Amino acid sequence: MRSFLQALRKKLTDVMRRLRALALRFAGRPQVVEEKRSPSENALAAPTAPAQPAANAEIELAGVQPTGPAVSSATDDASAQRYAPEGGAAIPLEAEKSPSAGVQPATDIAPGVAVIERERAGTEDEAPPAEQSPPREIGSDASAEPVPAPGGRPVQTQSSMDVGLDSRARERIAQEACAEPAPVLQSDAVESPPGEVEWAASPESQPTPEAAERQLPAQRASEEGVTSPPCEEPGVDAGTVPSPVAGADGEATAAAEIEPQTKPVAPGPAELSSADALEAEEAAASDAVPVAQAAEMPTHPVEQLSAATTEPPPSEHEAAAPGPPETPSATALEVTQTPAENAGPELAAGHEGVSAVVPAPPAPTPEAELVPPAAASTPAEPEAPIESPSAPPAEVVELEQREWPEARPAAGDASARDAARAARRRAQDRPRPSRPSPESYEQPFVDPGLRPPSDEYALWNEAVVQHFVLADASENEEIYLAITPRVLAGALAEVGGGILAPDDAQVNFADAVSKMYHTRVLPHSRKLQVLRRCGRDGLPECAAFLALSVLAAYRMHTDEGMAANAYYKRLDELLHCGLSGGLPRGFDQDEFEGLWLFLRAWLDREHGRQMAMPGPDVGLRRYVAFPLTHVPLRQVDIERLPDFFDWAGYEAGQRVPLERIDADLSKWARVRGAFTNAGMDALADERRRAVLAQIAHELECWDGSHTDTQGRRTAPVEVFLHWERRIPLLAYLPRRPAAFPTVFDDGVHVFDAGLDGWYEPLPIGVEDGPELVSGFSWEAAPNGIRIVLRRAGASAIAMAPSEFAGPISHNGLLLGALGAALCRDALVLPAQKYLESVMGKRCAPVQPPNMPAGWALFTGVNPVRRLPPPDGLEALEIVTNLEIIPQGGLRLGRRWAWLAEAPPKLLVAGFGPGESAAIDGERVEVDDGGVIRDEGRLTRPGVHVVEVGRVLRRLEVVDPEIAVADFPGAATADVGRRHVAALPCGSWTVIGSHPGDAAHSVSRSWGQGALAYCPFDPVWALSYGYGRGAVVLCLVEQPPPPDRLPRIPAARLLRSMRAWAEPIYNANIRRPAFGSPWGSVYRPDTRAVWADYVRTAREIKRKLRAQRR
Amino acid sequence: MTWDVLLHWMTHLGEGSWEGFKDAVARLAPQDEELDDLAVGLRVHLSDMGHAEFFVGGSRRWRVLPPVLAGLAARPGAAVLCGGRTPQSRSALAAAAEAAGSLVWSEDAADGPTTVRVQGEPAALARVASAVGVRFVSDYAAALFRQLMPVYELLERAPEESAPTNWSLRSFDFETMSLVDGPRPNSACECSPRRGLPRWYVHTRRGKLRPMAKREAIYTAAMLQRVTLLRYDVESRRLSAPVKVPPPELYSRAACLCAGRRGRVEGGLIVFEEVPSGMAAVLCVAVGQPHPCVAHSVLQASKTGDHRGQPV
Repeated sequence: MRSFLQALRKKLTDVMRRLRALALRFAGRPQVVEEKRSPSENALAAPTAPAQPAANAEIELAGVQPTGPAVSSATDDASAQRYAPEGGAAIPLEAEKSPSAGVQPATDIAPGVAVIERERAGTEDEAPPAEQSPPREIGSDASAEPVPAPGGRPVQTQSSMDVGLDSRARERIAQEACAEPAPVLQSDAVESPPGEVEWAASPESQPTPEAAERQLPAQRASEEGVTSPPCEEPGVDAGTVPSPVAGADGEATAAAEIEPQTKPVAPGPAELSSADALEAEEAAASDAVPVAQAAEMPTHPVEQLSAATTEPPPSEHEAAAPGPPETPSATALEVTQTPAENAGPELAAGHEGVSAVVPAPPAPTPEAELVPPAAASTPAEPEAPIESPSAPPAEVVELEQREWPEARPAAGDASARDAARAARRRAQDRPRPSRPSPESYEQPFVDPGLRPPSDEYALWNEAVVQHFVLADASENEEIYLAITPRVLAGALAEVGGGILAPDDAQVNFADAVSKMYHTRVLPHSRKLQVLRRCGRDGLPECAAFLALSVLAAYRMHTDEGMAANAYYKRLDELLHCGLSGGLPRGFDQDEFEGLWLFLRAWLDREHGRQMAMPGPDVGLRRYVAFPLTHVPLRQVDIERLPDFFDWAGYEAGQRVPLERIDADLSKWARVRGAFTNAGMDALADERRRAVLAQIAHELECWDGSHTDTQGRRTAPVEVFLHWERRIPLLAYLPRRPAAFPTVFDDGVHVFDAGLDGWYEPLPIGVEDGPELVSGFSWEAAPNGIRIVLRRAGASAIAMAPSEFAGPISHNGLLLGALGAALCRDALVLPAQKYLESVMGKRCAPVQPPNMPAGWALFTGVNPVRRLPPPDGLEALEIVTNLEIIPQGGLRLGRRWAWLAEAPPKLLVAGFGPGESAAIDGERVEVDDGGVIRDEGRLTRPGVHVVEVGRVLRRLEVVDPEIAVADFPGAATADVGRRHVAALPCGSWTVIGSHPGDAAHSVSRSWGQGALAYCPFDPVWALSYGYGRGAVVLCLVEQPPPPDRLPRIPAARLLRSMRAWAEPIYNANIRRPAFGSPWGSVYRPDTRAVWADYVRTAREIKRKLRAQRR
Repeated sequence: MTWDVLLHWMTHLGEGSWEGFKDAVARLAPQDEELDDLAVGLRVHLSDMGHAEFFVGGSRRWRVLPPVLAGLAARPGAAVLCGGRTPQSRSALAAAAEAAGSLVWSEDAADGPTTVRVQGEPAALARVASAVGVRFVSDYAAALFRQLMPVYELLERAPEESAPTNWSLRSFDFETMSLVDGPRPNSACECSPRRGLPRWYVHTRRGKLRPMAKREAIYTAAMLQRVTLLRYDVESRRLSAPVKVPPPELYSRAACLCAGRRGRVEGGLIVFEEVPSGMAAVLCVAVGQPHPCVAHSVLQASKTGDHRGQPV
């Protein structure tokens, strides 16, 4: 009975296990298939590692071994620290610490238990690089061994296999896994390096303290990924630099980071390090669209084979990052907790990691980092020579896949394991090509046949370089490519590329770079290297591409389709080139880094400026760190900046010193707390400087608008003072952000676009006094979009000199600059007293006509000292900002560019006695009025650098060029309108000298005449009706005789002549009156010519009649 | 020379807003100048001489016309440089004309940029234009006439609208040549919001308005009311219009470029000199005025046979 019960229990257990596996699989969850474990396997297993559903596997792992943190602790270290001593029977840590890469320590799962996890299709990205980390099996001695492919090719990872197989096949595999120990290929019959159990058990194999310390960020991130609730703004902190990504990303990166990185100086096909692979994995792993991803993949190994055969040998990265066609071969399926599940909901939601294969890492050797990936990969057979990874894998893969179940050797084939181990040792002993030095990337790429990029790309490239790289800043400030849509729009406007809305600028920019990428990078064998050079304009051609990579980082936030840290997916969204192995097609991470190094070197060499680069503690995202460095604030925080600008009283396009932004930002953050946690973190750590630089860029390109709580787009209305015939006149000057309509019409206020970025000024009248006091808001809704122009109420308004003809409202009176002040009548006395105090001389209000009721105006206000304003006059506070204000001259758009014939006068506000001014490095004087005496320097065409104190502006003086050559279509406008004749009212037939030249014209009901357009020279205009009488007008002073008819005109010619002949005939038989538009001029010979026309017409009619007969 | 700089600036930009134009004028204008009048005068000059066009497509924007060596209908062998230009293009033109044996000279104008004239054989003018890289049009005025859109067609195409609510409305009175309050039938109307820019309409039916540009609206109203504004003297070849109601821009430009000279104000009239009769007729008919040479009544009589066989 007992035995029966035991048997029954056993059967029930088995059935339950199978049911659970099936249920999990169909539910889209990782399915678990437990295998029987042999006692020996149990002995090797971790102390407590029961088979668990995948969702719990990692949690249990944490109890057995240091999971993320411990694993990643060895990530960045030297190989000696990365790998446990071989004698200690430790396996390379990368295998264990990269769950996202499909690596699962043996301690995770009890030996003998094969776990099959149905992952999202995209997680084949997570499979380890086949060449570097051949799969190995878990659950037996052989399970820890790599699964080499015959011929030295890496075998297909299970992840890809899993994707390639249909559900029935997977089920079959699962059943086989249940029925017996995981099958192993014959070629796998090598001795497994001491597996995870040994690693877990062996103290020597534990990460060293140093390594653990180095991996603290990863550890912290991993811990957060496991334990912390989902981040409120995952998009922000997921990719912040230099902190590693949270949770599994860190773990995964750790696994990849220890991979040796080999790269030829002039890399050909991409060979990516495992760090690259990891970043790609992250990109792929965070893809939350498993079905879509799966749909892109071959569904059968043969398809994979064909893909492998038709495509060039996969790059190292492509093999690492798991596109099915690039990662052939598979061995076993196993349960593993995907990193996405640790990384937080945004990752876990769409992240069913396919880590079906445990790749065997290179043998633990200190020189492992130097071993080329090809050599590091385990050979297929012990005797087989180690082949290049570029060897064609197709047939091998096919063979493996076909013979997979049968080809597996017995689990305990010790000789095979020994051979494999030896082969692996040999491979690892082989010296690995060293990574090229950074200097090698600083050299430009040379290809004389390479065509320059398109004009569109070149324009954007120039915009990026001019705005960011050559931005006006002190030399000791690092340069940030803080790309955002708003900044792109501003940068484009600066180079005269037109004014676009930020979103349009982003689309335009991405399109330009994408086209360049498709037409220039992808077709070229050297791919990204083609951008590593300077164009004809002397600017590095890679700038716009790198800016796009920063824009991709800026767009990183959790959305419906992707997790927050899916960087490469975002990059692909902009490039539109498709992903290959988790990376945009043709994208080489080393070359990407090389472009950054090239730009940095160019900037240093040409301009002595420093480009912001990731710090040494970049951690796990080595390549993504480059763009991430330049966007410490992401989209969600950037979109809150207009509120900050508005709160701080900044003006659109203002350049504010970073110190002031820093102080204001601190206050604003305290008061409003408006940044996300990630944004606040960036403010709090070493990225603060980058944050301030990014905000300064945004402010400079801010158009003054922001979206209020009701979703309305608002823009401010300034007050503008100008003079006409020495009479001061006030006007409203509304700002016009790019998205605002050309004509603002709210039914009461109607005005058109004026200067770039502004509407036309609206005169302020007497009746506007109360409106100025209380403030106003004009709302219109063109095309359903609610826009608001508003001005807050005030009791005083300060006005500072501007680039316009007069001062404009400002957030204070500028020290040392001639401005004006408006205040309510009730405050005139204290205002007058205050202004006299700060000016040091008398100041009286003026009352010009049309002055708004209840207000007084002070003109010629030039503060020379700073005093606290009295109550109610805070708006008249003296601002000591040092500003360079151009006045006069003819400016060319929004750029700081002027016509050489009309250069500006530069006014310096806030100029102190101890400060100096210089133009192009030559010291210049500033007169008492604050005007720079340029001594004619600004009449010379070229770029001039004006430096006043710490303020530096780049000013361009240009000779005029003809902007318009011809109107498109101008040549075709006259088609059919070669001649036009004016005729009196009526119905007219216009006749030319050639039989067949006839046109008709009828006057309209409203007109007082008719215009006849004809493609021939008109000679006569005939008008007649059904009754008697007709008019013949001679349209030329000397009418030519009719052209002679051909002797035997063709029938079709005769038909066309009928339209010419019949009006002449019909007019003539009505005994017409003759005339001329030129008055009463009538010559007898005109009648003679007319008679010729009549004769010709008769002749034509005769011939027509004859033809009819 | 000052206004040459303005033209160079406009040429470099290609296009811009009316406000930007006024701002540029203000920057170049001498002090105490009435800026609005100055800007309007410059606008008329630049438009009449074919350098730029303003209020393009009903907007408040201007754009520079492409550079053209415009042959004059009234003076064969003579041409003026129209459209955008730069100091470089001017010097290039002078050099090319000298090489082609043509004569180049400039005529200063107080109220606008210098007029650059070239005299030579048509073939030489074509060579000069080719050397400079501009188009040569032997009869530029005729080319402009071909582009004219008659006002009656504009009226037909304009959609009917209701008057904007709460806007003030004034009508143009041809007797006083000024605006009077309230709508009048078949008149040009100016509707003004409380704050901002007015709009012009033609009042055709009761309460129904058709939007048009100001000058076109006035001439359309004149057409509807059968008011004769343009007059042409065949013998002196002078076309004249009341100074308060100048012809629409394109018509005015075409009339000016017949002889390459701007209209002259004379006794309350703008007088365009040396306008060929055929062109004057086209201009008058297109702008809704009667044919200047053939009296309608005479034509009617001719059609009835009263003047059979006789000159009209």
